[in-house]
Amino acid sequence: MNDMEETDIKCGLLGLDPRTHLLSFFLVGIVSMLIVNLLETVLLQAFATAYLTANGRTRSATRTCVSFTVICGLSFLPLPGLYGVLFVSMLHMIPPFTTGCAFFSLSPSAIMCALDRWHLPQKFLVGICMIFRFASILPFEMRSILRGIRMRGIFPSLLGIVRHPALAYECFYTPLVMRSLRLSNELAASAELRGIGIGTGRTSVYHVGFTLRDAMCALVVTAAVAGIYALEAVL
Amino acid sequence: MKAEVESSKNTRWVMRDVLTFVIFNLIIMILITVAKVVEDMLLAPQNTFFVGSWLFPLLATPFYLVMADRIGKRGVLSGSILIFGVLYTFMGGPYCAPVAIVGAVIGELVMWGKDSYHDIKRVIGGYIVYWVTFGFYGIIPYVLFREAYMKQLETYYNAADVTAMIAQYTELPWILLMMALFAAGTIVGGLIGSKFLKKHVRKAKIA
Repeated sequence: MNDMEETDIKCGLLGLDPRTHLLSFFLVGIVSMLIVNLLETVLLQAFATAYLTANGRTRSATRTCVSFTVICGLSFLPLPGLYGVLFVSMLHMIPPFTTGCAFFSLSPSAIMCALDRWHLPQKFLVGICMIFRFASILPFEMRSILRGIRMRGIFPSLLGIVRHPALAYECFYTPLVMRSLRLSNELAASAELRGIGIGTGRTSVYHVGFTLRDAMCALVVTAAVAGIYALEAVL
Repeated sequence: MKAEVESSKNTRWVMRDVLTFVIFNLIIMILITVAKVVEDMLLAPQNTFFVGSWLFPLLATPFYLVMADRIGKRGVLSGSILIFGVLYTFMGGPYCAPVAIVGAVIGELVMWGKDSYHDIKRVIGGYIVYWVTFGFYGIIPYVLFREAYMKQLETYYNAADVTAMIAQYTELPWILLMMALFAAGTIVGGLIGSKFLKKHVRKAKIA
């Protein structure tokens, strides 16, 4: 390891390379698709939670665990529909989502730099980073729009939305579209000014590169998900 | 020579196009996911067929229309179909990936030609392909792995629900009805979207 690498800023508690998180996400996602039983799904979620906690996102880990428990609990209620998509799809989506939350512990610059080393097309990299950037902004934008609607007294109660669904949709749609268009304009201008189109290899102040920790982590994740899959085959 | 350079500039995606594409597709996906969860919470499985088929395109088309109009370059429809296919693949349907590729190719062929993404009627027509592809994500598992899929469904649904769902996704009249509902939702959503596009977006001169 040279002097430059020693001074790199490490993201998350483990300081893993973004590609290690990507591998973990894929492994958990694949096993989540393959398993059917509830016990194995719970074990996979427990492992994903431990992974996210180890990467310094304790609050997100707790939230995903609560969501998993609530959806699991709801699936046992004898209500029409509830046992459908929530059980089959959402329950199986939460473990990979929990693992994927580890990406939020990273800087978009680190993600772009790591994926750039795989020579992926630049526009694809920008798209990937934008998903992480905008996914965290979107709920805030939506809340701001709803707050603005309520502040103007357009729909003081939920009954108003039920009575005028078309107007409610327009009131929500217009500011969201305007904000999204402005945001894409501003972010594109900002990225271009910072030299995104320069065409040479990216560098990052954050640590990017495989170390022994990454190898250990990949080994642990592979062993754990393989173990969970094997458990289902045995049971 | 100058005309060739101009034309390649007009068809090449710039950073703003990529960001618009990602932002609007993310909004569409979140909107559809929320609508699907609410629908599944309120309705029995065999009834969701009659609501989701028109509701999802109705909600999503106005957003797609703005995105297509803003970018206006080849690849908007195929990219959107592929992104949704990738999402469904990760949600537990690996069979969605080849369906999405076929849908993307057909979609882009439908949108073939100059300036097609600024023609609202053609954009709406192309978006119907998106929803037909979405419909096939439901049909394919019944066609390819019927026995295994039925076994999986029987774990979660009662016998009456499974029978209704098999009929809805395997019998031609039901499939045609689903496609017609998708088309109707897209057309109505497109009409609403084009009104919003002219009334708000184009007037503001942002797109």
